[in-house]
Amino acid sequence: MPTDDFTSMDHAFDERIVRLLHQQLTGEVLTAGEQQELDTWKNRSLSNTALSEKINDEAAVQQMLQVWHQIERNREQNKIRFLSMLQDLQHSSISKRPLLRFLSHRVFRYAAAVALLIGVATFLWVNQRKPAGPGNNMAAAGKNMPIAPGRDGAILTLADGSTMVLDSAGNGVLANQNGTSVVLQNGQLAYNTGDGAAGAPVYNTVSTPKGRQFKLILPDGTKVWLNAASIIRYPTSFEGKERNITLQGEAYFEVSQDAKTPFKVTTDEATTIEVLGTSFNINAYTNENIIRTTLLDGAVRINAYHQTATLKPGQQAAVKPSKGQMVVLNAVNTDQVMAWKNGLFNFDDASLDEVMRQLERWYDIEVVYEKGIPTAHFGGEINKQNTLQDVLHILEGSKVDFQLEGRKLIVKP
Amino acid sequence: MPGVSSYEEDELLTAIAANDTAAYSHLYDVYYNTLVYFSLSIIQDQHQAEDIATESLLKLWQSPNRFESIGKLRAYLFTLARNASLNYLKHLRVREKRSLEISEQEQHDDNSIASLMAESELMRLIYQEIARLPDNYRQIVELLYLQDMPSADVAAQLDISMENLRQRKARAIKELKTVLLKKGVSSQFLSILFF
Repeated sequence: MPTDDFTSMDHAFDERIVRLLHQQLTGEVLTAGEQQELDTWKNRSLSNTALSEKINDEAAVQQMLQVWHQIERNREQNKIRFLSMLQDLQHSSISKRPLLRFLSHRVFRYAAAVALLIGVATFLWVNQRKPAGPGNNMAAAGKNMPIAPGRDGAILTLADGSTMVLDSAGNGVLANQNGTSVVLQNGQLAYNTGDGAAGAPVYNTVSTPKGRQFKLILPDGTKVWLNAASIIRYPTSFEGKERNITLQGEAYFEVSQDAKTPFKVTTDEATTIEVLGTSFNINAYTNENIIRTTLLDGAVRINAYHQTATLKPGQQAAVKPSKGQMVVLNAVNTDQVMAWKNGLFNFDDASLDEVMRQLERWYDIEVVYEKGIPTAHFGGEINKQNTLQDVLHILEGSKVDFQLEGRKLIVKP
Repeated sequence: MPGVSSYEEDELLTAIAANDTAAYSHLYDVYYNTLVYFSLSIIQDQHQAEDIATESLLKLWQSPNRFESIGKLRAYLFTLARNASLNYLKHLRVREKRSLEISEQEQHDDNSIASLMAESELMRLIYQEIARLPDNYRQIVELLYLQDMPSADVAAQLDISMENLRQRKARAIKELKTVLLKKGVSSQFLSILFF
């Protein structure tokens, strides 16, 4: 039965053991005392014995390092995301929040009650690695594995910092946030204020990783479709004169009418989109250098870098944070803008890197250019439910070659 | 792996308690991969494990505690990651109704979790040896060993001949050997790595 936490563990001892294991693995000679210490550790549990044996097995070590390497390859990108989330938290709370409910005993009862699925003994890779030889290795096996498209799912972070994984399977009340209940219905998140007045608003965050999208209904009834790799933060009940939320990434909004309380979306420090009952799409990924707000219906006002623009349906405001500029485009292709929500990629007149960034987000892959970014332009629509391989097959008509290694896509001219 | 800035323990603990962004950046460099590896070993899903590691560090930010030692801080991070991983598995289990398939051996008890913590930290140390190699050698080791790419493909990707690749691989091993020997380490590690 797992203990509540590890704070009573002997950190110095753990650190010493790890160092000794490292020395053993790198072939350093241990002193008799060190060897004895390691043996004591080894005999303490079956898991320790198993680990000790595993690091003497070169194939196992290679597999373990390969797993680590895969983690390392996503690290930089995930770090950027982490730091931007920190920034978000910094802006949102002046004082620190109370200690997480996470450490309450309820969680541990779960943990204890759950006899778990996969043992450490089954280790990291189910497939036993076969002896190395041409065409008989993991990279080659990975090549033929179809990469599935993204699907619905997100992570909900409650006001106390605890998180929940949301997906299409669950239904029911997830939590109560100061008098407002958080409900998951048919894979979409909603808030019920109930009869009683809601308490002071607290903030929730819904974030989608790469390869996931999600739909939610905000406490005021506004519908939000959140694209992959995006984060939205909002209060669990809207109080005061404005409905303020923040967004990173891409989302489509259908804002519920309330002329007295304007709905405002902040995408970065200098850009706010103000709306009155309307539907619009915001694309504000940090790795796209333009924040695009496209209006489908109603009216929105954009305040960006001390400039203001009011959009009519069919218009798009393009804000370039690097230059602090905003331009309004007329008669944009709204089908293309809305394609993602309608389950499509629309690559009409898209450049190769634009296409690749979309694929990265939806298939959770990393794209590498072997020799710069080839100038290729694309056209047409592709169903987002295709596997990555099928999409690449379609794109290969356009004078570009792709090579897939695991989740890394190499683009060749 | 990037150069990890150094901090005095006490200075770091204070900076963390004060929600200093630079300190968290440092903390990320030190613990992120380890936490992902740890969680991944439990839940077998890299995507989720990455989210769990990130969330654990974010929770630390939200916690008002000042930890009395790095050891306590580390324990706290691992606790968060373990709980989130177990919760995720529970979630999966409910969804897939796989409870019947669970056997005695598959339980994540304290012992297996503790040993997994050691393994995660050990991997960090070993990977560092490779990450510290000069770029052109590291590239070879990454492609051949960490990505398990066939030699012919590696040569093609680097646009060099097979002979050239063999030479570069030999130099990479020599370099690694020098690095390890400087640390007073024998070459057994290399035989594990390459043959």
